[in-house]
Amino acid sequence: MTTPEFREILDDYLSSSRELLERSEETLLAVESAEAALTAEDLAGLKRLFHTLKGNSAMMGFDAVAGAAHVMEDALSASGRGDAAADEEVVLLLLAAIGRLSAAFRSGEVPETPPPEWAEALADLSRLAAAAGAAPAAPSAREARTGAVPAPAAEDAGSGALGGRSRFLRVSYASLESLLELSGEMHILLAGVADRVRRLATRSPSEEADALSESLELLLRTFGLLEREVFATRLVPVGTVLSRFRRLVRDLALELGKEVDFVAQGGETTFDKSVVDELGEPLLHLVRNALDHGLEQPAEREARGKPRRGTLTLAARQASSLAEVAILDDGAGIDLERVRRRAAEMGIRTAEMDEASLLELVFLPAFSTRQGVSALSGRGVGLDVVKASVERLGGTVRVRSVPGRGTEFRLAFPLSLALSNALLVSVDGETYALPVSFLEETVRLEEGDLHRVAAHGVITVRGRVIPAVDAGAFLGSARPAAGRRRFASILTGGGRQKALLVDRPLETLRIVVKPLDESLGKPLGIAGATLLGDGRVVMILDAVGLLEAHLEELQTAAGREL
Amino acid sequence: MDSDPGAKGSSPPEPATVEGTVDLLAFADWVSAGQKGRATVEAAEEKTYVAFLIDREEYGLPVENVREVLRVGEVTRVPQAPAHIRGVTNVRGSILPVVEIRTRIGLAPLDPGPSARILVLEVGERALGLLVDRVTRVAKVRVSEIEPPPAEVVTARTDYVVGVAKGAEGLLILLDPARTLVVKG
Repeated sequence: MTTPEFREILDDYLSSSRELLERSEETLLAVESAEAALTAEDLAGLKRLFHTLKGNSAMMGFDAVAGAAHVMEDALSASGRGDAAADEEVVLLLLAAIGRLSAAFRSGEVPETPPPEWAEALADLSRLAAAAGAAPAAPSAREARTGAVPAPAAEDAGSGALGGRSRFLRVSYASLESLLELSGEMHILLAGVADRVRRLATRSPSEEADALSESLELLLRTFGLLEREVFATRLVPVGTVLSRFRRLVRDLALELGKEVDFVAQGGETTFDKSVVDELGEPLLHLVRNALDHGLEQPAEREARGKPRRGTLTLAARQASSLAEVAILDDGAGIDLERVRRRAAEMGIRTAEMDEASLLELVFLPAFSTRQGVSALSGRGVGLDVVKASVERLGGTVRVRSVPGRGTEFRLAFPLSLALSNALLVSVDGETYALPVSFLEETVRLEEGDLHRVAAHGVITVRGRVIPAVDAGAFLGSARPAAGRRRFASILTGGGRQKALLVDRPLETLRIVVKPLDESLGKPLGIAGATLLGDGRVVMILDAVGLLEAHLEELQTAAGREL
Repeated sequence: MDSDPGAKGSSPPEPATVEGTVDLLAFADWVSAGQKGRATVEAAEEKTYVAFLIDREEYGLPVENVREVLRVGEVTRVPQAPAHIRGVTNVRGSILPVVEIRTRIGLAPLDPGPSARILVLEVGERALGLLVDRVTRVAKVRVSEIEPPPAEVVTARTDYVVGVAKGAEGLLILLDPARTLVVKG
């Protein structure tokens, strides 16, 4: 049974089961932290979730899961009397059982017979169920069928409370991708048509040409709306990723003997799907880091006049052309003295560094190892890994810290990885696209704005001194006698700034980002390619890569292959 | 089906008809089996190549791997790319890398004239444009005429040459499409 169709059904089952478990976990954790009894609404919701899981599992032949879900459903019949103390036991046991099941689903290896650790977790639940007089019975075939109606399980459970149909429709990823592809192609074709019509209207003006221009404008506007809708299908709310940490924070805090409130905010903020898919890993590192090193022990907190319970906040929001997520703790903050000592060990001079530059050091490879400032529970995984995975997704990360008050890591990503507004710039007769996500402004350079500090260029803009790189240098287009560049595009992100020296800005337009074929290597400072209305291919500059690269690296990049 | 339709070029038995009706599925099987049989026989004898010139030498790539032949449009330079990467070009909305064999074999890059073409080479999911001086013909080559390339000619850098065929029209250097796709510096 390894046909693609079966694989698809199985994947569906696995993902909806994970979702069902996550949702039940969320409810249970909320009850637990409120130290309240299970309300009738909680009970109904949980029963429905477990029942759906049971039905789906039975249909797919995962009897072990179906059996576990059955026991969990039954155990709930012991509750509902408003007895908070009695409910506490049920909630804890259910959380333990869900933990076992979730682990199996996450690993992708769902057992077909109950493993011993499940039996252990379920035994107490069975006892509760038996005490409450529930009739323990194996899931019947009829139940299996009713639980397994073709409607996706998660929707079934979610919309049940509203008593209506779900407002969501499952669409295959492949079909969305081809919608995106087609809309991208149409974007380019239409831009080409618009180009020609404009030329026609200027060369041979006529009533016909005017009418054509007018209809075209309308078409372009409408297509713009369509395109936005299509691209919005790639945007997904980040909420599920954020709330997934509730459990981890609870478990890890228990383990570390810390008292921590977890707050997730802005879950409705949408991110590009590929970012949401991959965001878990860097967030996991940062959350562990905050619990391990940021938040203090309760006694220590009290001694410092802070509340016993620390707060860990995951907050997402949209900020102009960026989607941001911040990990905030009200712990001890990063000890700058220790950063200095660690830097000295690594042979880095810190005497002239300001606070922000010092904090930046924590992202250096090997900086935050076991001996370092922010060892991640001895896992040997440093913040450099976090930074690398964020940058792979086209984002930046910066850290701020106030000693004694807390630490904030802020991750910023372009709103959409596939569609972006970009400024076209001209460099030595070639055209490049510079996405506006991390572009602060483009300024005209006057005589005397460009300076050399040692081997590197800097520009001064309204009193600020910004490191500058000549675009022609890393693009390999600079002619030996290249004249003075007249414009500088100032990039800002991840707590850094860099000015890119170009010949002139051309226009701002919406571009569809296409990745480069792997045979082209990974040119430094290039993020991909896009097509213009006239059919030309234009390289997209990588703002994040440029911000992160050292000036020296950039100046020698083009020479490496020559 | 009992007999192997492709064997020895014999055609498969005609599907039986039952009381004037034709079993359509059996008929379709019979037709496609006959076609497959013919194709195998053909392949055993002859292969078809798209032949093209690079600096006066004639090369050939299997016709089934050449998706299309394009006129040379605007090719955009890719910064820092290896020398034999000519750049990228737009093929109906998708971005195709364009490589040159010339620079791989130590010749100067081509200054594309009106007869220059880009062969769109396709192996599996991957596609790549190959810039050539001109496309000369579609060559049918008898398998028996194909010889391995002279040993001293094939090095690690030229392992994409898999054979030579001597025909009435001269020497045809046969390239392996998959190895031509793998870009080596």
